[in-house]
Amino acid sequence: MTSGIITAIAMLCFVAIVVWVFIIKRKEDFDEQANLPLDEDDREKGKEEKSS
Amino acid sequence: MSQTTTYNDKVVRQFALMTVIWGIVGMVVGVFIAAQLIWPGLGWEIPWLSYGRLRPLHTNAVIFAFGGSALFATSYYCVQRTSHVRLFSDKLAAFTFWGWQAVIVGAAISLPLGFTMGKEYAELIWPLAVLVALVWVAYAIVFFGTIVKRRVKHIYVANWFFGAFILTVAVLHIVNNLAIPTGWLHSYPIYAGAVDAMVQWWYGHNAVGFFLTAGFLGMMYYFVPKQAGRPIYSYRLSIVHFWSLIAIYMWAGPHHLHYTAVPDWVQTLGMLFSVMLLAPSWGGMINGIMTLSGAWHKLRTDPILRFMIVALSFYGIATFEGPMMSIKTVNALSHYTDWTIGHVHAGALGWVAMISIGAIYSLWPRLLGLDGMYSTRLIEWHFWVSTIGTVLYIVAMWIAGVMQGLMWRTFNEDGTLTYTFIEVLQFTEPYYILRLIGGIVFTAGMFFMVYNMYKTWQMAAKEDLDVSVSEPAHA
Repeated sequence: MTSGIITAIAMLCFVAIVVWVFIIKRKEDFDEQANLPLDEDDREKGKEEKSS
Repeated sequence: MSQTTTYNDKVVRQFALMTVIWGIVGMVVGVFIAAQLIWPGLGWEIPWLSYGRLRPLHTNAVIFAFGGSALFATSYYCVQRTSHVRLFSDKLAAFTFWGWQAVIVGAAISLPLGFTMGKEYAELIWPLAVLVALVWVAYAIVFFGTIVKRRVKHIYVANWFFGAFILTVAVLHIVNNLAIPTGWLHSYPIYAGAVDAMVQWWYGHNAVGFFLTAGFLGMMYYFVPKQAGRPIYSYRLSIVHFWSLIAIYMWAGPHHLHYTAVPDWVQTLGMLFSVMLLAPSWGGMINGIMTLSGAWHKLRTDPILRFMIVALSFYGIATFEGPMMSIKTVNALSHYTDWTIGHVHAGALGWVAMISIGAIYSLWPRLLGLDGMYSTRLIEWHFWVSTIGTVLYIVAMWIAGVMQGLMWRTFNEDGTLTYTFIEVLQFTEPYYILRLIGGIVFTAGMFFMVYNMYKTWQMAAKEDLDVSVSEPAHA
């Protein structure tokens, strides 16, 4: 009985995460996050600093 | 104020260098013990050169010294660059470096001398285990402290994976190492019997799941987009990947204990969770590989990217093979055979080592203010050598393992074993030689790497290696 309830809760958590990620959250938010590794390049930055 | 406006790359450089050094040490020991399995006389009856003492040295060196250093280097780099702040504390960061090196040196001395706790992948005697715990707490403070003071609204997904890895390994390490010391070099675990076995493999499998998977997935989520120059294929998928992976991995440990004294339902539970793991694992693999969609041509010219994509492919192979081997009927054949060793090395050489090598090649010139490594051709060579070495290794172990399993379970009409132990061993020998060749070939590549890194370091301007911290991101 208890294990059945816990299984159901765990599955609901998974569904909740999927709903949150794919339906509730805005896409722009994720795009911004996905670009975090790319929004700077040290090598580019170093060049700019040297030339200025 | 220069102290607060640059990134702490010193500790990253230190860990990146030691990654390769310890990689070579650990792999050379691996090659040596692979040779001992063919020529048992190797070691000349010197106790500290015996297989039983060197095998834990090999596993500890490649997992914790090589893999660990790679994780420290890449997590410190990633968390600073994606948070736009310097590491939380320079002193604590330096402590993690020197403390971790001290643990490794301690392991390299104590294990060959025969001092061990006797738990697989947790062999270190308790004083060293305490030092590991201290270093790990410092690591957590540095990492999460940096996240707390970040100047960017979001926490990038790679940092979620690194964070889960740091947190979980702390819990696993401390719980599994609880012991009552009887002296400086010896202790008894507080658990006994089947409970001890379950704690050990809860630890053991989550060391695979969080140390060797979550940590390296963090590396993947930062360095694959960075090297490909495009964002991860689906950020949404990465979040589902994260939560499902960490929720499921925790329960997979009992598959190491099929057909033992552990309760049957626990074994079945472990099997079910292991099979379920296929979904998040492949989700992550697809997410990484598809990052290149529309830019596949980059694979032709960039061997670093090729390292990463092939690493993801091996990750896919290993995470398909793992769930399959955890099914009890398959496990009845594969357990205690060399198939397990092959499976581990598909993950260890193909996934962990190749993604680390790719990440370090990507990282090293950046740390030195250069556009690229000294020789792309050498990276190309390293790539092929690593791939061929891994394939030789796992193919040899597949054949050896399946044949061992089949020969061991063959019975005569009267119920006696058809094959003696020595007959199985004789059958296995050629595949042990093939495995040795694979190991030598793979290890050779690491020497190309260390030479390439040295030449790249020579190219760097020695002054002004500090990179200023980026502006806060406007959310």
